[in-house]
Amino acid sequence: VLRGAFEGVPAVSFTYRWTTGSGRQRTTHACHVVVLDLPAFLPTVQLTPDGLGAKLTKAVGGQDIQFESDDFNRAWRVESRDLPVAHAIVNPRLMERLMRSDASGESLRIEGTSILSWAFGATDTGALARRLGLLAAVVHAIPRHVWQDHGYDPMTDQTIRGNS
Amino acid sequence: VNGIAAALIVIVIVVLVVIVLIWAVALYNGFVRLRNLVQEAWRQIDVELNRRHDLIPNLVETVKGYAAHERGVFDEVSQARAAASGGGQSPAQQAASENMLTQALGRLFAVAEAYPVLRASENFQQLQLELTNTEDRIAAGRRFYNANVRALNTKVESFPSNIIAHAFGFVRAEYFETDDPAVRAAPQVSFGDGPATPGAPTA
Repeated sequence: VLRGAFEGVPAVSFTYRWTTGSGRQRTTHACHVVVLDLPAFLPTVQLTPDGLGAKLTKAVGGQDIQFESDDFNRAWRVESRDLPVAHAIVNPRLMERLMRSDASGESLRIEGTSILSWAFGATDTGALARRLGLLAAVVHAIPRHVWQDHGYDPMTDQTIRGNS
Repeated sequence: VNGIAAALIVIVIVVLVVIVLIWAVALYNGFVRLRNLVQEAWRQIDVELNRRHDLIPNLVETVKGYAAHERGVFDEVSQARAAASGGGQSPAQQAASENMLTQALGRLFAVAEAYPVLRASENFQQLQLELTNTEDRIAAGRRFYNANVRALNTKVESFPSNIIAHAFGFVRAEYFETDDPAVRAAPQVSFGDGPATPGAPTA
């Protein structure tokens, strides 16, 4: 587990391993998870690449919130129970950022007071800065009114975050 | 044998009718859900628009304190505000009224530009910041509303759901479009470097 700060925000990187099957069929999987702290508790919003698996899941009723960009809708699957918050967070600026090549294939999730991304495979420290940068970009794209609605105002809290 | 065949045909027809009924009920409920979402999203925009309208008298009074002779601009803003806050407007009419108000506010801020003491006033800065924040909320609400309208309109126009829409009177909803670049723009937020420079609404 790696702990530290990115742009002044507490961050953690670790490898999550789990095993499936038993006996000869036993397989261990690994996932590199990168986590950045959030200043307030936000509703869960998940963004994953809109691949074949996502399409199959959607075919049997899986959620995919649609936005005004067709390219974005084709590239990303967005899930959340809080639709207004999802629309506020996934705004045009964030959509443009997520359509850049360095965001391609990433899986992102806002969960409580954390935002995290994960990728299959062992920890890749070479990709750490890029992935933390992407998480920070998502955090910066969250509008002030979303924070205010969840008990935090970035303009009155000087201890936070980024741009440093 | 003929009796069994006839019974099978009846069973198949009944099953088909039941399937069609289930499909129709599911589609109908989907339309109801979408229509309610559109209405709820519009009410949320209405709340934010009211918040915007409520800020304007204070803003006008603050500017008046420094530039009392600019009466024409104040009157224009007041009239545009009165038109925008009048109830019972459709989304398209409301958007047109809001665009007029934004243009009037743009002229008010242009007047304020000529008064450095006014621009430095804490009260004016606070109101400007609050207005920007409210416009960010309107922008987010507008996107959510339009997303729901898009989903409803697509369903109303697509085959075969348009059959149910036509049968039960579900119709297209109006988009809420705005020409205001401040409202159209992506919300901005600054972390840690003090208050962000508020973007005054522009015409």
